[in-house]
Amino acid sequence: MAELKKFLVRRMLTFIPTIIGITLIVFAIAYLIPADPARAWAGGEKASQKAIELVKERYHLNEPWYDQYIFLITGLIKNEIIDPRTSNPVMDDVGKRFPVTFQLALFAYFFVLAIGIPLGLISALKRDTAIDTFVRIFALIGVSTPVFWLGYILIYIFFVNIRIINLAGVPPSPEIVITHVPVIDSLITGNFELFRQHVARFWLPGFVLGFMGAGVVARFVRNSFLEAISGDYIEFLKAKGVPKLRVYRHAMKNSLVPIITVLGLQFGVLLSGAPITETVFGLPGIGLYAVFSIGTLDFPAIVAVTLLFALVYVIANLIVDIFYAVIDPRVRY
Amino acid sequence: MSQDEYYRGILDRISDAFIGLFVYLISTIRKGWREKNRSRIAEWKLMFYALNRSPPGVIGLFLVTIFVFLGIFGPLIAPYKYNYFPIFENSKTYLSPPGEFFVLGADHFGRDLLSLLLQGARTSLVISIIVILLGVPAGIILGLIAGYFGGKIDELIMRITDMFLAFPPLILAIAFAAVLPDRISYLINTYPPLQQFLLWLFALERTEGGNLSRLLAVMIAMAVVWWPGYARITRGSTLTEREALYVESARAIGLPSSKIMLRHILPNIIGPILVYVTLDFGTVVLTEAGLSFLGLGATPPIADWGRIVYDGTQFFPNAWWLIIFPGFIVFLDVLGWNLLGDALRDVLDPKLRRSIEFKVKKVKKSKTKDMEIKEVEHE
Amino acid sequence: MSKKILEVKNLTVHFYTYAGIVKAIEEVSFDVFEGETFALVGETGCGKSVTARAITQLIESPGRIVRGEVYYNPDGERLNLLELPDEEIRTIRGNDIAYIFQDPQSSLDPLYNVGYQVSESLFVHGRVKSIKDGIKKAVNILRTVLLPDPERRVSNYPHELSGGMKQRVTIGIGISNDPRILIADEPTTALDVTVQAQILWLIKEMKKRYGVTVILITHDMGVVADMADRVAVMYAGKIVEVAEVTEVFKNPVHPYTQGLLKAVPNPLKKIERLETIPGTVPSLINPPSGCRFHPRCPEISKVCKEKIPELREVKKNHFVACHNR
Ligand SMILES: Nc1ncnc2c1ncn2[C@@H]1O[C@H](COP(=O)(O)OP(=O)(O)O)[C@@H](O)[C@H]1O
Ligand SMILES: [Mg+2]
Repeated sequence: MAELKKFLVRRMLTFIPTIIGITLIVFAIAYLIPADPARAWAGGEKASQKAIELVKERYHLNEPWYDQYIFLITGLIKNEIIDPRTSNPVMDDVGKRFPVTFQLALFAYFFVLAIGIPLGLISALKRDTAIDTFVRIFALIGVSTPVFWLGYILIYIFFVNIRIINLAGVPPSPEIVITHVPVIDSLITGNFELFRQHVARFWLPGFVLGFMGAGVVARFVRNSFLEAISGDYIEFLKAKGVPKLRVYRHAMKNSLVPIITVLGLQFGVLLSGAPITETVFGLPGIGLYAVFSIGTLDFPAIVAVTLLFALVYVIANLIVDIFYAVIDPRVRY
Repeated sequence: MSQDEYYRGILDRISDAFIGLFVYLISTIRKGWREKNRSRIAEWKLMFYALNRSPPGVIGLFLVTIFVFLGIFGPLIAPYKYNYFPIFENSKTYLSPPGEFFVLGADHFGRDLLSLLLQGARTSLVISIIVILLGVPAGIILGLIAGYFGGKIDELIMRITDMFLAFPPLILAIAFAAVLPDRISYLINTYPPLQQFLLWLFALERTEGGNLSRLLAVMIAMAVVWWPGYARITRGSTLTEREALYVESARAIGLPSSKIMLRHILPNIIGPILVYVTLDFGTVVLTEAGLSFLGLGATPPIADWGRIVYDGTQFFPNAWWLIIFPGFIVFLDVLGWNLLGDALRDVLDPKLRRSIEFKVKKVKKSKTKDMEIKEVEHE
Repeated sequence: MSKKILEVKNLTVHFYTYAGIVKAIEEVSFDVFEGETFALVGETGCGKSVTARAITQLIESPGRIVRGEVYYNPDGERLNLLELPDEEIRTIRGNDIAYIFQDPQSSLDPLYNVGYQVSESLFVHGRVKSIKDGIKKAVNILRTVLLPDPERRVSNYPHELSGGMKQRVTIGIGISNDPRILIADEPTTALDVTVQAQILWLIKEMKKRYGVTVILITHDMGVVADMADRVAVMYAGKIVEVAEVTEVFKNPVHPYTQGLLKAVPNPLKKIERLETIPGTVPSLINPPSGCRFHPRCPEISKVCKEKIPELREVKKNHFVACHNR
């Protein structure tokens, strides 16, 4: 256990340069903005010179770039930066919207797993049959379908025609906050009515966002499983007289190693796809917020969102690493 | 069956001719290439035969051919010009449904949707090609350098690559696409030839000169997001290829590194990369549509599939055709590339290639004696 | 002579590949007697492993057993193994007929410890109630195959063992259910020279202790001389000569066997490729007509190209497939 802890700490330390690098890249992009952000933040064209100076002072815009960068990052971490557009602390804004996106990604992830893994396994077990072909085509259709198109088609079917979903606002969060993810919190605290509302609001966007991933995962599960089942040790298992189902269990466990990597990556992909889904379904999430912030040159917000995405990425990687260590004895802490 | 055989025969002959032409072109540039690469050429032919026997691959190739054709000739065969606004002549054309004035209906300027889609095929194709042309070589070169030299350089390049990979690509592209236009518009305006070239590429008229910077920004933004994947796979193949005997000997006779990389290593690893490009082309098309759906990139009156949907959402669900048709076109285009890429990947993988052609008829296992097996001989 | 425990008749296996149909083995027939060590020798790719695997239907797609019978004759029964349904052949594998494969490196599942894997082979044949129960027996089995410190080793994972130790574990798995026949497919090829002798010694020891019949596959004539009672020589998917080991070394009849022995004046040398017989092993997609050896044969006559030679008994218990003998 102590070994595992040490391993995790070491992994986390290697992630720090990644996070710094990512925020630097975004900061550089923001720095590229030629329009005068101070003027925009002070109120646009008709901003007074004094107001502009004040803004510059406040956000260290007159300092060299590294000073600005450090000011911004430390300020964001301490939540001391006030968003010039909304006049709230930036992290408060982000904190309000992130749960929406996270919940959306969770719903999508649910569909990715619930559709992708069984389909992949069936496809592998029935390889070169009609079912396999079907899954293959399903996967190709999945990666070929524009999210906005699928979203609107489904809205047309479920909302315009049969009106079984709603598209306005987001249900409230439960009183007791545990995980900050409303749907989970409402389930844990036994508030089933609220849980139902969240599911009703999020299942369709989640399905749309997860549709692509489900196909990708199905294909990947299929190929990893087939790869595992063609391993030499599988042949030896059969020669040992191990029954089919048990052989599959060995193959399953072995194919899990690559599958976990892809599942880890998928979470990032889902978050990345969030802006379009949020736009289609009118969900006030972080993706929509990022798109809007970029449009208004609100770069403290952009850097904050980036920081958050980078953190999620790093954590997803960490979870993947932990799974590896648990499953595969060859992984050394 | 014989009908099948007949069409396959035609396809095989077409692909033979295609390879023949390709080989001819190479051997005019490099004497003796054909003789030295006989087995490779034979292998290519086999690959094409295998592709011709994979129905999804053939469908994909068909779709891709159509969309490339439309990308080139679409603006020319479109019944109306993208900047012709019928609404000024007949207000009834405003959001007129399919069949009333135009086959596929009209947008809120009364423009013919079919013509917009045809014009949009050009926009999509040009953007995708340029993204690939900018991003892929950059990734390949960085991957070659990282893999070939190894050590500190490798470490540095791969760290940067990882950072870009860690980043949600759409968000990064959005950031670039939002920030770049102002910078680029200056560049475009100061180089009229560049402006004219771009206008010609996108089949646009002079009046759209001002909107070019946003298109260019999207392309650059996507290219910036696109190279890391290629850096990764190129590095991987370079690492294994670096140890090969021919590289050793090239180094021994003192060839410069750049020459070894480009003339010796690259030709040997390019195959899988090209398959990857094929698979990836669809993703580029899809991402471009997504970005313009978010309001980045093309602005009206420039026709762009994603943008048509973006503008159409205001009139949803009444003007459903503005969403359904462009979305379907994007879908078909992307599907075509994915089908083709997927089949190519199978064809390139010798292990999988076996299974493409020889689908042995399943026979009940209990009858081991004198089982009849349909034998499919090749050649 | 003791009874035939295994009779292989006209066994034919084809692989349906992209490049064409690989006729891996064609009309292979031989008998194995109870208690003997039967060696199958031949160059790499001549179909030894395919033959061994086909005996218990271990042929995977794209391969298919096209024809043939394999009679297994345990006490008083006569079973055609190729006609048994999946579940029945499964209970034969590992229980009656056990295998050891060439590469111990990849024979063991990397994600399970060796105790589990030994115990599993007991469990699937109903010898223990659960995997956990089998661990104690696994320790004993690993002790009999002379794995050092078996109490501790049972909880080791394959990557923590050396190649030789892993092969000991697979042999342990092989003998764990006290099988009647042990098929060892090049059990020492992937091992260091020093370890090879130990493993061969272990197999002999196991044979002595359990009285198991061994089918030993090898391309090493030294191993044949050391271990085998009888030998079958394969060439390009066909058996060309079967005889007792001394007979094969003293009076080889088939030109291929003669070449084989000429190539290895010192039987301790390996025969990766035959330098003394010109030419190479033919493609099994379009094998030569008639006798598959005829393109390389020094004594070719017209009939060799036209007719496939049958195995004939040229002397008592000495079979040869050649038109000219
Ligand atoms: N999975 C397979 N697919 C295609 N051909 C195979 C396969 N397995 C074996 N073969 C063919 O069968 C022949 C015999 O192989 P094998 O029995 O492994 O030879 P060896 O005598 O070295 O054990 C070889 O020519 C090989 O090409
Ligand atoms: Mg073998």
